[in-house]
Amino acid sequence: MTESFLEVRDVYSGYGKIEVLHGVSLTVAPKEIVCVIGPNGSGKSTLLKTIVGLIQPTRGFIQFDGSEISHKEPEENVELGIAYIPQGKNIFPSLTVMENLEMGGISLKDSRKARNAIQEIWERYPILQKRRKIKAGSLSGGEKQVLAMARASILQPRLILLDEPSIGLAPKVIDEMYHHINRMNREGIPLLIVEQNARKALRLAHRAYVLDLGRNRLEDTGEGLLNNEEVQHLYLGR
Amino acid sequence: MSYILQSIFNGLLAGCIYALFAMGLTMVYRVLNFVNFAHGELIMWGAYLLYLFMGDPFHFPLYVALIPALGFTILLGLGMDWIVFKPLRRTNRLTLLIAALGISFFLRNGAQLFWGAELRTYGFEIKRGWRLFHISMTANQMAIILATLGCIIIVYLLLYRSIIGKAMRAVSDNLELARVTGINAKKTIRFTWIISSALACVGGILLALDTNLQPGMGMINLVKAFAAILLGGVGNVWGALWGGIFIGLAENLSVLFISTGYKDSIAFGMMVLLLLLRPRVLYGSQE
Amino acid sequence: MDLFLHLWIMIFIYSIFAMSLNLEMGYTGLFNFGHIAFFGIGAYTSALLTLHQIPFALAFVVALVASGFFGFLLSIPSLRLRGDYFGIATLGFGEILRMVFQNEVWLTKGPMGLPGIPKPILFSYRFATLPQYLLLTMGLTIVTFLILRIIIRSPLGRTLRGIREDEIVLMALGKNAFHFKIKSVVIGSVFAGLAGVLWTHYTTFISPGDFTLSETILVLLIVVLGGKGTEWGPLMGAFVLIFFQESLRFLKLPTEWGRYLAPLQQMIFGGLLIFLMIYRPEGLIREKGEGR
Repeated sequence: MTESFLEVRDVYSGYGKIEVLHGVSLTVAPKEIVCVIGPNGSGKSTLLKTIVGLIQPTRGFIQFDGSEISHKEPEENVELGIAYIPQGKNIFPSLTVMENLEMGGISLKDSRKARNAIQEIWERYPILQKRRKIKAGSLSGGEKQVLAMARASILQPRLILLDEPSIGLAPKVIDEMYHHINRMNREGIPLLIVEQNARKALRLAHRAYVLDLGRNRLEDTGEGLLNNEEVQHLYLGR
Repeated sequence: MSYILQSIFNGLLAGCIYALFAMGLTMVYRVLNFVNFAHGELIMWGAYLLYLFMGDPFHFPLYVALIPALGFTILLGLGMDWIVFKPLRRTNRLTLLIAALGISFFLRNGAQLFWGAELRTYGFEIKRGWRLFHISMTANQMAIILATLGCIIIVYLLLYRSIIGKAMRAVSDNLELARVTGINAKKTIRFTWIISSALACVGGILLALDTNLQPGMGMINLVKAFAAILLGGVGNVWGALWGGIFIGLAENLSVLFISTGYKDSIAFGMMVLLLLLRPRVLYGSQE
Repeated sequence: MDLFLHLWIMIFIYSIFAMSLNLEMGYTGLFNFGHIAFFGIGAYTSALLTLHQIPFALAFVVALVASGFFGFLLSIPSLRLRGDYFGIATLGFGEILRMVFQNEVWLTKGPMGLPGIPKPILFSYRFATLPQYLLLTMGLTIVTFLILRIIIRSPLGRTLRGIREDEIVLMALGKNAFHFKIKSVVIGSVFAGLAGVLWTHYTTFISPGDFTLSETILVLLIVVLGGKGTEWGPLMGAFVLIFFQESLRFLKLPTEWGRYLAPLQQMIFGGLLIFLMIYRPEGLIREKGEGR
């Protein structure tokens, strides 16, 4: 039996009196890309926020690399190597590109490590180096997304949680981004991706889940769900 | 003519002090998203604490007394946050405002309890100053300008050259994102209170140096600091600086036209004008 | 016996003052921290007019109109502000007005105050003695309570409460929230002025020092303690706090203690406010349907 790297078991969570997740479960194996799709309001974002600790689950169990993280705070989860890239506001607009990356490295105790990591970022994403003194708020949508992912990768994460990375982006930019996602995975990082524009993600994913109204609906390989007629009809708009 | 120049100079002087108040106030606002109504009392207690350590039974000289004065004001600011504001972090701004009003009231009367309501001064003798370009200034006033410049430089270095300062700016932008980036939000917030209280303390001491000490000095300056941050753009530290200077100038130039009894209401008047002319600046419940 | 009557007179006066703030703060959600200004305007207007031999009935009406008018003036610029900014702006207004009272010596005699304010005479009946005054204040308190109750339960009242809950929804419904807010502030100011009139003719001597932030804190505390947004809350709060405040005065403590007693009492009020916000923001009487 594969040891799951991330395990979410029967989690209930929400905002105050409003419960959004009613007993959701999933797993992510080491080096896997797992995708979660579903309509608006199904609780996909809530799920990621609960895993990283921004929201505390009311019931359920979350485990990462063998230790329980159900009620940990985001700061602790970051130390464990969980990187979370939120949907939308995922960079610090009033900080420069460089400063955004510096923030990414803030939890690395060794500042030399951080500086080296930033050097790598310049090599990997030359566009960011070109704009490194510019306030992140003036970047284009695609550039912001790239910066957000670069920021997360400085942490040398052991798991990346991505919330709708392709939202609001042009198709060419989305392609580029998924190219980076693929590359990161080939370097050994597992990713949990929540997507609305599911087609691309499903093609890339090893496994995928469908979440609807806060509950598990379907589970299969990425290909499997992509070819599933019901999924195509309900969630892929065909 | 020299009268006008003198007024401008006095205005800049007052403006420096207001700038310090406003910068401290806006820092807490940026990071915690509420106006600390008790900021005026940090100003006032900063001034009184220096008075305390220079008087019985300590009799420290000025520069030595500064250290405990700053230290205790910072403790006061941290204490305010820890005891009152932290438990209320998740409530609405109005609850925070009322709680801050309560703190302000508590601290103001606390000062009155210890020191009474009479005016006091530090008791430095007014030494002869200099005359430059028809403007006379005393050593005290030069100290105000130098101290303010020093504070501004420190704030700049902090916010733009230090990691914790950048973290402060990050937290101001987006608290949730900061947390998941690995920034220790609690430490950053504590640090913000330290800087805010320190600025209030220094400003209060400079104010008391230039004028006098009385328990009500916090409240009226809070209103001016608030007007300054509105003028400069809420949450904008450099805007607060300019806003403060502008108000200082406006106050001191206005006495050329209206009675001095209303000097303190100029700031409020500026605020009203701003609201009438550019209400979009603050309209609505968003932000 | 005199203490008893004095106590109740003060409780009634502050009840009216608190009910007026409750309309603005508790029901409409407008945190008017300069509310004392309208109390002061009512007080000074009535005092000045009656000191110049204007009959009380007329002075009374003018005072109320003046309070309402200034309430209207204040609301135009400041109601555009978001909740906490509105609070600070109105606080500033209160302070400015106090400065006006203090500086316009030709009008208000400034810090020296206005002594010898005559007792009210209505329909040739002079409310001079304590029991008579008690009757007057009690009567007006009841009238205020009933009028405000009618307003709260009317469509206007429901609209105001809607504003407190969610301005966006209300605007989407096409109602002009701004106009309703103005109405709330004006009505609140009128009743604050009423309280001011009653107070000034009771104490017969007023000065700018009577209208400071301390009074604002007191009435705020009354409303919050009693339970804002409730009908009986302000009365309850007034009873508890005024009882506490006034009985201290009559405890016949040595006068040297006075220097410490006043700020100490205010510190207790400040602390109470903090305590309430953290542990029981809804006050003594909970609002219907919410344990927020």
